[in-house]
Amino acid sequence: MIEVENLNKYFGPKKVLDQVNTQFERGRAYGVVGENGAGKTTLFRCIAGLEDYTGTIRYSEGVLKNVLGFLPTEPYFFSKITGEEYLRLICNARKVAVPDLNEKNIFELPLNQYASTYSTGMKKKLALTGVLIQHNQIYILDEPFNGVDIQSNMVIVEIIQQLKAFQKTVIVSSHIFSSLVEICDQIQLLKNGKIIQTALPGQFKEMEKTMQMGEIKEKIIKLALG
Amino acid sequence: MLIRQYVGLQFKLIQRHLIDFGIKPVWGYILLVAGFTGISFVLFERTEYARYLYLAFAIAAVQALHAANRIDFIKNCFSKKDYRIIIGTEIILVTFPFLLFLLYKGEYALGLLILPAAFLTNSLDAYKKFGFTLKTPFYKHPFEFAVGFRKSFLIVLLAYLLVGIAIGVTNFNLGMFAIITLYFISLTYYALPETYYYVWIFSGSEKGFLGYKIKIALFHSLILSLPAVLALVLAFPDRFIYLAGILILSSLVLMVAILGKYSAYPAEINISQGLGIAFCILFPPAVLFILPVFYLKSIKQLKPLFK
Repeated sequence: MIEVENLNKYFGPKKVLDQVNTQFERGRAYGVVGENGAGKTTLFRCIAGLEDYTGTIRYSEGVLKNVLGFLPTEPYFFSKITGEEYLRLICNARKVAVPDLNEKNIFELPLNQYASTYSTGMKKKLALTGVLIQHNQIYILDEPFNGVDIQSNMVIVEIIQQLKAFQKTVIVSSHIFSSLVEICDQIQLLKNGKIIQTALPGQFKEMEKTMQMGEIKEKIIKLALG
Repeated sequence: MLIRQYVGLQFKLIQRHLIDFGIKPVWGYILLVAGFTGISFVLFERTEYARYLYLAFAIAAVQALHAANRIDFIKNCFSKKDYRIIIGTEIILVTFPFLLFLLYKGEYALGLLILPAAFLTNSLDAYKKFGFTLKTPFYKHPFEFAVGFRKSFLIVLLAYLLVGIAIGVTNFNLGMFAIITLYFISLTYYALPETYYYVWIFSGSEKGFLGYKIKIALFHSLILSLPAVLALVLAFPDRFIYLAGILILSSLVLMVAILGKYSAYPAEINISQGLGIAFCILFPPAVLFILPVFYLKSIKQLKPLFK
């Protein structure tokens, strides 16, 4: 289990995470939603050890980083690295035996091509394949559905269901609420760096309503689209 | 074992860059070593402050390699221990040629300083630690100078420091060297091709686009160097003509670099553009021949995007 206690994060004077308290258990999927800039990615980066913070992030089963697969919103690839070399590097980094990559290439990516030539969705699929073949215990997927085709979206949903069945922990953010509803056991709503609402499956609809409220119509009027 | 695989992969990627640049890897390595050694000798011959510049260049090279997203990727992928080994190895590999030359020149104290300095500056990541957006005087126009300045402001500061030293010790040549450094920094802002979108959104013709790019580049490079130039003019009024000459030549080379970039667009510049730019830097009159060639080629390369 991952326990997050009193997590605070500042960028200069700006507080981007404000007293975040939450926990993530095995065999469950957790959704994190919120407006752009609400602090979702920063929360993930803190858990992944990519940011300094104050507060505590505890993992009860060893060194969190060694069992964590983190899919960033925009995966990074070395210039001129092929898809296959990337996957080998990812496996070697965690000292995991490199599997038959053709067999594991479920998204049918052109693995012999430079990753930099892939489309946005293909890059995301390559990075996702990477974290999956590492056999992690915990998965943080930041916007995994972004830029990915509908069929692959369904595949990702199925993958998350399977990970849960294998007692893995999945933490996922998405702006496509319906996808989260399908897979998550709990969804947390972040606003201005604070968790303002936590919903269980029966409360998801109510949460969606909360998210839809606001002053969006007034803001659109300000655009003067006519 | 892991680090051997990692370094092996990095060398493979460098070889691909050389091949894509149009050069055989073995010749690429020879040229890199020869170029580095040649420039080092010239630098040490021209200015007595070369050793300090050398230190700065070594640090800048490490900083350029360790961009935030690359560091994040390595940190995310590897265990803490392996991450430290990889970053340490990269710093040692990048600074090694500088260290070797400093030792050859008998600069043992600076040689000893180079590694700790590189490690120290590498661990200080101002943007991430403080999360501020660096203000630049270039924000009004897209985009090379605003982005480039944020990446290179430490070197810009160093160039200005050199101007201060040049005035303090009445060494005009050092001041000229600082101005050339500022223009060289500007030139690096145009080293890589932007995505199609940044070209496509320009409303106008390919000629208009190139003209706009050159105009902005000349204007911004002047802003970047103007305080230094004015300080040097005030300190060395009798050398004004030399300063004017270097400004004109540097501006012409900058134009060649921009046109060189677009003459290869959308690909990265290859050996022919690289040699053309290098030739103009070494032999400025060549600008007169190379500039029109690159211009015509750029027009041809950009035409499909302005149909």
